[in-house]
Order: sequence, then structure tokens, then C-alpha cells
Amino acid sequence: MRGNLGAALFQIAIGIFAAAIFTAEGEPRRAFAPADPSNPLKYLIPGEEFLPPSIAAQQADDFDNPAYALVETGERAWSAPEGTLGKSCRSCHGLGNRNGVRQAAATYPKYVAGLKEVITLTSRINLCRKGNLGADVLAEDSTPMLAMTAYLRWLARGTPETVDKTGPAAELFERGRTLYQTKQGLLQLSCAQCHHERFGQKFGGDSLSQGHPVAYPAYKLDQQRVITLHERFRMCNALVRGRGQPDGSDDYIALELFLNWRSRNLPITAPGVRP
Amino acid sequence: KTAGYFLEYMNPDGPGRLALSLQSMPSPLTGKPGDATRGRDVLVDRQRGDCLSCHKISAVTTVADQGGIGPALDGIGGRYSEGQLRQILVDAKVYFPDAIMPSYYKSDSGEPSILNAAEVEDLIAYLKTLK
Ligand code: HEC
Ligand code: HEC
Ligand code: HEC
Repeated sequence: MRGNLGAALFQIAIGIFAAAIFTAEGEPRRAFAPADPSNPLKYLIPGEEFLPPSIAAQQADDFDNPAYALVETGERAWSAPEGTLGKSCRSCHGLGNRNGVRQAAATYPKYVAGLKEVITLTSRINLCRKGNLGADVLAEDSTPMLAMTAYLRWLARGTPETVDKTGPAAELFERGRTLYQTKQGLLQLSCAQCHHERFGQKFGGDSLSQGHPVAYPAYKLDQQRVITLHERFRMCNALVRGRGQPDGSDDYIALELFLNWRSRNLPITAPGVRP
Repeated sequence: KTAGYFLEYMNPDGPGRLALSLQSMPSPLTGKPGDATRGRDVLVDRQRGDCLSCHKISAVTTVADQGGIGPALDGIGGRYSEGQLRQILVDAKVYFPDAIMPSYYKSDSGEPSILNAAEVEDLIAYLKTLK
């Protein structure tokens, strides 16, 4: 009992007490200690620290965040019966703010024993739609899917990322780690070269962040729409003049798993707002 | 310039780090010198050189968002010979396997080149104007 309480307090302490660290340019930035000692990053800096402060503020305020309309669409869909079985998500899970579902998004991608597979949050939603509502599956980047993921990720706001890379997930995790270090595209650059070795430096007009996935799905101000994490991967592939992959490809799920592990202990901030 | 400046310039991350080991490729890839005006176009074109995603050049005032991943190229034409610039553009990774600076011209491997020979020569002519 006491041990559990100690562990819980420790969790809270590392979650709340974000230290300020100083970057090469001398600006203070909020940083979190990684949950695992084997994390290649010594400290985790949230993506918002690399944004103009006005955009970070827009993201933090539900009234100003342009993705919030999508969260509300998702919240309505949660309680609206759909499909042949006459049920809604709420029929089984109760109100979305109930504990289990509230934090679920911080645990994906996740190994599901029944499927013998690591699945993303979008696959989980589709599994429940098909099997438990008798409804059709939604395309990864369709508006109703973006709305449900935005809602579930918004519920998890503030929850530290806790994805599990051990056991049966280990193989996909290693694939993600390898991909992260593989030079890609005509420019022959790896994710690590930009987001591990060079964060804080400018690529064109953008400040390179550590490339954490915790703010996705996110509203892209220049495109005036919400994009998925996998679409952000495609954009990075395009920056190095390489080939992108569709949402939900095995490589992208592997990268998503690796990135989420690399972010473990960073609070979820979705839906994000990005320039 | 002070000794401190020299050390900074030559340190492993300093602007002169390539100069230490660079060899020269003296002959133009096309057999003739390039054109500086066309070179500037290649440099700023996002589909071709796109050099300003990573480098800064104060003389280019038409591009607002310039990058900071590589060293500023101000004065580069005074620091390197044409032959050295050619080697940097064709393949800087020969000297630094972990170089971020992309290889823009691959003549012998089967891989596609980012730029063609004439574009590389035009770029060199432009870089030589940055004194
Ligand atoms: C008939 C009951 C039922 C309905 C209706 C239902 N679910 Fe589920 N859901 C489940 C069960 C059972 C699980 C646990 C499955 C497991 O652990 O393998 C689950 C798991 C989940 C999880 C993962 C929770 C976690 O901790 O990993 C999410 C997210 C979820 N459902 C979302 C939805 C959404 C969105 C809808 C509506 C589109 C929905 N569910 C409708 C029964 C239901
Ligand atoms: C040429 C440099 C470059 C490479 C290589 C690169 N990225 Fe990015 N990436 C960027 C830029 C620029 C942004 C937008 C600014 C930022 O947040 O870093 C970005 C953003 C991201 C973000 C969103 C961060 C946020 O908070 O919005 C993620 C996640 C990401 N990249 C992952 C990857 C992955 C995975 C790879 C490899 C497949 C990769 N990147 C390769 C330049 C790069
Ligand atoms: C993806 C980033 C990137 C792009 C794009 C890029 N460079 Fe570089 N460049 C670098 C880096 C980083 C270095 C320093 C060596 C290293 O670490 O690779 C460098 C070094 C150089 C140098 C030597 C500078 C010195 O002071 O020693 C020259 C010249 C140069 N680049 C020219 C160019 C030109 C011309 C282009 C466009 C055709 C270009 N670069 C595109 C990243 C880039």
C-alpha cells in the first residue's frame, strides 16, 4: 500500500515539476524527465516550446483552439447511437470522462492479445464500431474518425504518455527505432538527424522540435484543417524529398510506437495547433 | 582575426571544418563555367537547390525564412576554391560520413541526382560571387 502511494507521488512529482532547461540559444524551456533511463533523450521538451507563444496559447485554450469544434463533434458522436445494434459508445463505456476511457489514448499503439497485433487508437475505434455497434469502419483521415480521435485524445489531455513497448510489442518497436535512424529520401536524412541532433535549429521558417507525437491530431494553421500524426510523417518524408506512406501503414505504426515511447512522461496536449 | 576565432573556425562544428580535409575537383562537370544568375535561381528554388532551408545568405533578401542547420554562406566564395565548392556540392559525405549536407550530384551510382551537372556549375558560379 505504502509502496504504491510512494510510486504514485513520484509519478505526480515528475509529471508536474517540469524543470526549466537552457538551450544553446540561452532561452529557458520547459522540460520533463523521460520515464525510461534508456530513452536517447536526456530531457523531453514539449513541441509547444518551439512555437511562437501566441500559437501555444491558442492551443491551450479550448475557446481559441480551432480544433475544438472537432472535439465537440466527437463528443456528440460518443453518445449518438449508430449501426445495426442500436448502441452508442456511451452504452458500454459510460460518459467519456470515466476513468478508463479518459486515459486510454495515452496507451496507444497497444498490443491486443485477441488480435495478436499492435493496434492504433483509430483501429481500436473501428474495432468497436464494427464489432460493438454494427457500424461501418471509418477511413483514418475521415472527419468522423478525426473527430473521435480528437475527442479521445482531448480527454487524455494532461495524462502522461504511457505506451508499452515490451513483450509482444517489442518487435514492432525495434522496427520503429531502426526506421527513425534510417536515412531517407533524396536528401538522405534520418528523423534522428533533424529531431534528435538538431532540435532548436531552424529548417526554413520552422524551429525543429524534438518531434513528439503528443499534440496530434493537430490543427495546421497554414492549411486550415486538422491533420493526423501520420500525415505529419508524410510531410517530413516530403521535406527530405522521399516517398510518404498512407495512414496506418506498418512502418508508420512502428514509428508511432517508437515516438510515443520516446515521449513517455510528456503530457498529452492534443489537439495541437501548429503553424 | 584573433586566435580564438581561428580555433572556433576550425573546430569540428565550426564553419571551416570541411576546409581541413577537402580535396578539390578542379574540372567543371560540364566542361565549361556556369552562370551565376541561373545559379541563384537554383539556390532559392524549393524544387531544386532549396539551400536556404538550411543555410543563411544575407545577400538574398527576397527569401524571409532562412534556415540555421548549416553554416551561413556569407563570404563562402572567398573561403573555398571553385574546386572545393564542387566537391562539397557533389558529395560532402566523402569527408564526413555523418554530414547533413546532402550530396547533390551523383554521377556514377545508379541513384538519382538532385541536380544535374549544369545546375551544379551554375551554383558554383553564384557561390563564387559571395565574397
Ligand atoms: C458493446 C459494447 C461496446 C460498445 C458499444 C463500444 N465499445 Fe469500446 N470497448 C468495449 C470493450 C469490451 C473494450 C475492451 C476490449 C479489450 O480490452 O480488448 C473496449 C475498448 C475500447 C477502447 C480501448 C480502451 C483501452 O483502455 O484500451 C476504446 C478507446 C473504445 N473502446 C472506444 C469505443 C468507441 C469510440 C465506441 C463507439 C464508436 C465504442 N468503444 C463502443 C466495448 C464496447
Ligand atoms: C529535414 C528535417 C526533418 C526530417 C528528416 C524529419 N522531420 Fe519531422 N519535422 C520537421 C519540421 C521542420 C517539423 C515542424 C516543426 C517541428 O515541430 O519540428 C517536423 C515535425 C515533426 C513532428 C511534429 C512535432 C510537433 O510537435 O508538431 C513529428 C512527430 C515528426 N516531425 C516526426 C518525424 C519523423 C518520424 C521523421 C522521420 C520519418 C521526421 N520527422 C523527419 C523536419 C524534419
Ligand atoms: C538539409 C540541410 C542542408 C541543405 C538543404 C543544404 N546544406 Fe549545405 N550544409 C549543411 C550542413 C549541416 C553543412 C555543414 C557540414 C555538415 O555537417 O554536413 C553544410 C555545408 C555546406 C558548405 C560548406 C560550408 C562551410 O563553411 O564549410 C557549403 C558551401 C554548402 N553547404 C552549400 C550548400 C548549397 C549550395 C546548398 C544547396 C544546393 C546546400 N548547401 C544545401 C546542410 C545543408
